[in-house]
Amino acid sequence: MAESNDGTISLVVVVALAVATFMAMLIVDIAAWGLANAQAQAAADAGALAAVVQASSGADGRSEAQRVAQANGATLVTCRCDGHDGPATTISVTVAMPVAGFVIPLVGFERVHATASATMVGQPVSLQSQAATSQGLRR
Amino acid sequence: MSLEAALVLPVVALVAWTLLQAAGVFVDALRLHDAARAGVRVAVTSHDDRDVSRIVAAVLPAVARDLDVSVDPASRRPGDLVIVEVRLLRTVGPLQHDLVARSAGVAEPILGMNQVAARGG
Repeated sequence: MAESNDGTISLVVVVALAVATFMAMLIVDIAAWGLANAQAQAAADAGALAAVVQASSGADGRSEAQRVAQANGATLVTCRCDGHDGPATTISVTVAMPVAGFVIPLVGFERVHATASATMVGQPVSLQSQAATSQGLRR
Repeated sequence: MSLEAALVLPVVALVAWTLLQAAGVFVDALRLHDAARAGVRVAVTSHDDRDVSRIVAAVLPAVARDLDVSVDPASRRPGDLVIVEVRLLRTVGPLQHDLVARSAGVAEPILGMNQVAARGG
């Protein structure tokens, strides 16, 4: 007597669909990781730039780096904000950015890190002094 | 074609289409982020928001007319936190999705120097 196949689906198809769904989630995760990586690098760059301007005038570069990192959706991890070498000030900032995804956070990649350095030689020129210079040149 | 294939093929096609659309959205999100990043670099050194819009449009020329660029604060001084937000309404099949990218920076001491130099010159 022949067996009826009504209402059945092979195990191979079920497994293939599960694998396809998992791969789709993984691809979306990799894309999200790439986006988070770019955002983290932007946050680190902006944080280092802001911090070096502050630190070169003697102010607290770390709090400035933290403020900018937070505004970019990242968290400040480390700030080497004491890099004075003669007239040059060098700041190195590392930030962490959370990764939104399905699979990657489950295997430990919850956040990406990015590091940026900025160096400023001398002190920042103020707008007022530039305006005075311009007026002096005009006379 | 077997019944299994008839059932599975539309699902596979739907998964493939969704993946392609998701990839497109992520590429747009990355480009939008690049544009916002370029925009904030201009915004921290210039008072003129039109400069920001110009650089954002230059980064995304294909969709320049559909972009909505905002700079906060509109009037800024050195040391202010400046946030550039770029929005793009993207259509995915029957759905419309509002993509948003934000980038922040601190207005630099040279803010407005180019305008002052232009007036002085």
